[in-house]
Amino acid sequence: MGKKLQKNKKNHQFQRYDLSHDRRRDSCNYEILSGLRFHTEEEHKDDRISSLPDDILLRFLYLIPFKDALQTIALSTRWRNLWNRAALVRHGAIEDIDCVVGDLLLHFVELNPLAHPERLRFQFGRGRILSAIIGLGKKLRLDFSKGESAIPRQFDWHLVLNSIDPTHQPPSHTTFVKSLNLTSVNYLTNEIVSSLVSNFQSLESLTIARCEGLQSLRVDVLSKLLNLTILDCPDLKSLYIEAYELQSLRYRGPVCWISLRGVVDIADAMLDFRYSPGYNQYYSYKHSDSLIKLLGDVETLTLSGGIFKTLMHPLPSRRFYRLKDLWWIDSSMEEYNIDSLFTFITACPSLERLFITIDPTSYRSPSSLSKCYNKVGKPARLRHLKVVKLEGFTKDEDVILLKELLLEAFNVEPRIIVATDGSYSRTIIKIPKHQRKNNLKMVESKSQRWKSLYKFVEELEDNIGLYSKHAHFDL
Amino acid sequence: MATTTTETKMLTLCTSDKQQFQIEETIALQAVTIRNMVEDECASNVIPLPNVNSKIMIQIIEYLKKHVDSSVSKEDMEKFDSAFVEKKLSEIFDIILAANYLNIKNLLDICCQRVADVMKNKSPEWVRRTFNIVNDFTAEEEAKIRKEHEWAFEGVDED
Repeated sequence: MGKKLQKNKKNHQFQRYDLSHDRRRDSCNYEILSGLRFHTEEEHKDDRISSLPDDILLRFLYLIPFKDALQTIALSTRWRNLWNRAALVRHGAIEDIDCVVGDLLLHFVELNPLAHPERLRFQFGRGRILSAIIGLGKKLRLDFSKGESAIPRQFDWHLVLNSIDPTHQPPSHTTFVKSLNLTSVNYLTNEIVSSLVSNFQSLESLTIARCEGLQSLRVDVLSKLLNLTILDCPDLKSLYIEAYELQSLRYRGPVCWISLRGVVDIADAMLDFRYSPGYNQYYSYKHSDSLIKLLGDVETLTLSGGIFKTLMHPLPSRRFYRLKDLWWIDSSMEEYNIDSLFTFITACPSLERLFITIDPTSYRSPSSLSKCYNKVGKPARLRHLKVVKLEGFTKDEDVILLKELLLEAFNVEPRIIVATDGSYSRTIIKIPKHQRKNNLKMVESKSQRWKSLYKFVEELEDNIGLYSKHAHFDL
Repeated sequence: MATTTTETKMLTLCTSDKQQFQIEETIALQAVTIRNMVEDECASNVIPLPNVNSKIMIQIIEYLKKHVDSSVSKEDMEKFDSAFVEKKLSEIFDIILAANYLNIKNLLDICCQRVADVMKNKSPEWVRRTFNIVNDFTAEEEAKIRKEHEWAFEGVDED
């Protein structure tokens, strides 16, 4: 036996069970409990169980009903930390991932009626780790980002989801998962993940994130899938999606060839092309019409200005009547960028909230496309535009410029809120006439004149109601 | 110490308190850790087991001897197992640590199951009292943790 344990035993040999150890516990409970018989040894009063290694304690938790396992969180700090560290730990080969995750789901579905989140850490190969988490709302996340990272190698990935085989009743755990998140899948793990998820029959949401080396992705899903999100796959060059019930499509990453089949009239779309230059030199988009068609009924939209200029300019006569929340991401506040933004919102008569982020890493359209702002027809009046939230604006002049231009082009004065990293948001207000310092006639340049008209004050109503974040902010 | 007879190969296990146990190799090799040591030839015929004392070793050998016997029916084996784990919890913990170290999966499983059976369907107070777990939360902390998981505390027997 370990020396430490022996020593422990000695130290505790003459120690009586001390109520003061339990001083924080309800003394009434103690009275009741002390009257009960325990089939445990009387002579040892030391806390042997808590000195066992984590792996062993986790084994106990795995073996008892989940509601009991959950209660151990309140036993002591030791046990609580076990939960924070959590995760059942398993080891095995990469081919076992299928079974291990299947078992986790099966165990969760059959033995965990309270559906508390459950975690698994599976170690395979040379120091690689899969962390699987089942969350509330039937979510499953498979994350390969921890542990040793593989040398990135390019791979193509084809996922077939919700393919129903009418000839046999699917096992309950395969219909359980509604929402699936696949993070950091690489060339080694994509096949086993494909085979695992091909069993799932009821997926409504799929997120694929940070898959290095993924250069082409094809997702085939005939039914049920409502939300598809693809985030930050740095090597992606082509994306093919065939889905017939999709309501939300969110993409953030390099410029890539997007081909859609069956996807029409979605309510929520994000086309956030960052990390330029990416693929643009080969990029001639022949399907801009289908992309415009895709956005016909959109209510919540994120668009990077650069891609808008490349793909959709000049804007077809179509209008986006349902669009209420727009997040516009651009690389700078140059005039031609503002022009494209204005061209776009001209076609959005129902717009209520406009979010603008200036991100220098955002996709920049080729310069040849820069100056092509043309006023298409009569601009929408934007009567519903209430809030404009700005992020990444470094110069106050740009904010004032935007305010003036909105007034000039659309005759609207929405509340403009400027978010700054690590400090309070500010809002811009007009200085009342009698408080203005300068005689306006004395000020020559336009920007100076504007500066004397406005001032910035701290914004208090941050992130509430109308001022709440855009739906795509926290992705 | 070790002797090799014509019929059976013997191994000598040396425990933390320097007691030596001579057992048949087939029995000892059920412990994956011992098997690895023998296969890697990193041990001479005397295998040191510094994490196991003689008192526990006797019990583990008892278990291994039974389990190496292929003539025992499944039913009888289960009977043996359930009788085997009818020990004080402190002994069970010692066996768990040893089985974990020696990598004897079945033994680890049945001992963990024994502990799990004690914990099963009990209130946190009961578990604390039984295992002498010291509650180091303040009343406020515990109330907070409990509140978060209030629903989990419903319908549990005080036993």
